[in-house]
Amino acid sequence: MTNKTIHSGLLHCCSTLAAVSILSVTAHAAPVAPNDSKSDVEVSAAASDAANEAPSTVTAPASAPPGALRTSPNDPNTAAPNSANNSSSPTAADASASLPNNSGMPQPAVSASGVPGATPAPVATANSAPASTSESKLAQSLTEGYRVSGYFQAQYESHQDSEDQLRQGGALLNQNRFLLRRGRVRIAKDWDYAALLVEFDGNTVRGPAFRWQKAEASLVYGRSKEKDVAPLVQFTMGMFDLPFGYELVESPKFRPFMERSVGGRALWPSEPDVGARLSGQMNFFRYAVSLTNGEPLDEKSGLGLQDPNNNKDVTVRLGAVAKPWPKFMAAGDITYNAGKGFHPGTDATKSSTSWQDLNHDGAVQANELIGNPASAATPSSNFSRWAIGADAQVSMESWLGKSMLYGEIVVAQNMDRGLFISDPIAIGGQNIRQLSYYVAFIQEITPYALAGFRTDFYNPNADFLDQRAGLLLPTSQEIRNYSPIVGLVLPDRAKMLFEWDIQSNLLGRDSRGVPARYPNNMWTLRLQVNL
Amino acid sequence: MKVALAIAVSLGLSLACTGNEESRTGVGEPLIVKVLPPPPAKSRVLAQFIKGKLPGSPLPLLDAGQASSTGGSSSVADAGTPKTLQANLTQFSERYVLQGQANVPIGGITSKDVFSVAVALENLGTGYWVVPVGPLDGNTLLPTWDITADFGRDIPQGYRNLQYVPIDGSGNAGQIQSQKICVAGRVPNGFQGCLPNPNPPAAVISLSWDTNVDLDLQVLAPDGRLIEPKNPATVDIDASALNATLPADAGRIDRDSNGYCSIDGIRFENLIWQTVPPKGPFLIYVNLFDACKQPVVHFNVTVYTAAPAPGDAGLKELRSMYSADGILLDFQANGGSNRGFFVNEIVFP
Repeated sequence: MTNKTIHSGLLHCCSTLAAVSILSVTAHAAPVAPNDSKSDVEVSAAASDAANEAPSTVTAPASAPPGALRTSPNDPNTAAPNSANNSSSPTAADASASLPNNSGMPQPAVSASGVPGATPAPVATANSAPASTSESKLAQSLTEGYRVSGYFQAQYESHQDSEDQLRQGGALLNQNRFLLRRGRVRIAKDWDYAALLVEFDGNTVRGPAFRWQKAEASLVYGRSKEKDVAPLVQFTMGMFDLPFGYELVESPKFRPFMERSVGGRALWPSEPDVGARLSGQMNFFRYAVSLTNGEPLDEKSGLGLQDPNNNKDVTVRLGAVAKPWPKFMAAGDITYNAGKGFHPGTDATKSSTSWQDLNHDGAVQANELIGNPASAATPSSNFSRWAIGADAQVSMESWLGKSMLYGEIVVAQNMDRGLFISDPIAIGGQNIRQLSYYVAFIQEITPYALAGFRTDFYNPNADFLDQRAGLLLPTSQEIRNYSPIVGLVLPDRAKMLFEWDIQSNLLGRDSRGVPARYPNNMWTLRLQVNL
Repeated sequence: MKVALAIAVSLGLSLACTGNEESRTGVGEPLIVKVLPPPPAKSRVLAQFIKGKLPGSPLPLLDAGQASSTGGSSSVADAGTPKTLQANLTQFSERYVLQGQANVPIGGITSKDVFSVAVALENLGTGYWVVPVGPLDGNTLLPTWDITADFGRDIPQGYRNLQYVPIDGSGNAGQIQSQKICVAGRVPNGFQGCLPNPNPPAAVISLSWDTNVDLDLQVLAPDGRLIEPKNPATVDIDASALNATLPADAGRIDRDSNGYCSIDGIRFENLIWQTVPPKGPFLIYVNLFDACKQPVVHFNVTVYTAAPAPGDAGLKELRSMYSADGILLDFQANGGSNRGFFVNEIVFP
């Protein structure tokens, strides 16, 4: 049933601020002597915390959304010190800190050759320190400056349409369950002109799974000394979140709502894709351009992260962020994505015979045998698809806490890859038009609680026709969600959130056979703890 | 505290409202109906299942063969309903279906004002299926309805009423029409429960199981012959003879269900004798030929013999004389290299 697809579309999302934290964390990492293994551990721990709690402290990439609401009273946007100014230990790392470094971040080490970004290799000779010391140095040099962070989201969810049955093929219809929604672990390291990030995700959404979520290799130029400002230019290759709109690059770690909007999940079943990205920020202006395979993770075609055609999807994101007052922020972007979808061909088949038991007697009669002649293969073909979107965010702080109002609208053609799969070739070349939007409001209530509301809308096919008394009539397929949310917060460490999703859809039929609401509400109770 | 209380109340209400009791997809129903959606869809999907009583007012029952006696094309105009909403059956000519039988085509035409047809099995299941009427019929220019029906394995044997009712655009239901059908069991008992049958099989050893594995019934006959799906008859057949047939007194196994993991889902194998089997002990085995990647299978072996039907002289029916349940695990699959799990020794009266 199609209604099930909605919830299955809720599934994999990914952290989008990984690139943020990769650049932000070292602001907290005090320079430490490379030979001091104890200090090294402390550095790693500090860096780890920083990676969790200050995702956009120093240099958010242009693709990252600004002003993602944080519930910490120690919001690093306002309180986190730039540790480059706090470093006092006269260590080798200071040397790197004294190197040209637009980001103002201390660098973990500099090689003997003076090349910034290279980790100094441990010197070990036959007459030098014992093996254990040598290994310690080696381990130290390997781990120095790396930041390990993560978060875990465990939840109970209840779906109104759950049943103690199996779908044809064996999929579970019961979705009232406990599950580990996301268990993300991230390892990152920065150099002056380069950065590296990998992120893994473990979850039990479709049974136990552990997989790559991100793998980014970046060259960086023109790091900004100001926090919240991305470098002038950052070139990334690997597996990263597609820089389209606001939701797609908003980290699930900081997003108060459980999942992205239903339209967002239909157009992009998951955030990561494989390709290359050029991004940066200059004053209030920010940009991102990417070339990707165009087959995001978890795409229903089964080609996720692969590429069945030569075409590469282009994504262009232009935006601006402004802080006219210290406690007020406004930002917005316009994004465009274009590419080519793939309609797979079919294999050639051999001749065969089939039997249709016309009289249902269980025995074969001559007139029940049907010859199936061999059929030729059908060629694959491509079709054009595109999406254009706009997003805006406004946030301000008051005595009650931070408030944030934000929204996004996307108009697309042949882009649905997660819910009602778009394939215009299969329907004779008629393009399928989509519209998606959402509006959300989040209010902090002291540092220890929050409340919010989001409504989202998705029309998967503006030209859908349905049978009515023997005639085909234009019919809406729109889906709308109303999602109130409340939560308790342990600042910087944990969140307990409760969200109720009330869905209005036309996925069912009433007794007249006319499309009607299919009962599909759900609620989720989630506990998130940051590593 | 108030916030916590509110959350707790909300949780409680949600739990109460989103209970797991009601069937909504209908996949657990004894009758499952599939429809072909509007173009460009090419494969059938589940129709809409609605929990509750079939709407509409009752109409006198059609006889078992009445629909087909009119050539399967009783017209909408002469259906005799007092209302204008009408629907008929033109595709359904079956007098019987088997338990677990799937893809039975059913359909017909309706009057012009009909939006949908609701379908149910009388007194079975928890609701009914709604089928929007489809394209206009080329001859009558009236809307058509077209479904395929899957009948559950647990529908009791005997006559059942397939009911259908037309519904208009305002939700008004017409009169309920019924088609009497015989639901026959997988054990070949001569449509016991539907038709009076003086000659059901004399004896049947029936094996059934619950998961899609290649399970085989093996019976060691008194003459030492091992009868199994790969060697299904109690006597040799002259393979060189044209149109070779079994002697009337021979027994044979009717099928190799899920043979070589070619899954048919029937999961029944019957050794059938039309006449009384020979005297002597029959040793019954159940062999897990291939587990087909399933971890475990539960099976049942039942032995039936013909006995006089109560209250009707001259008629017979199959009665169970022995039944046993068992379980086999995947590592017990042997590919036919050994004899299977011994169940019991049977001597037919």
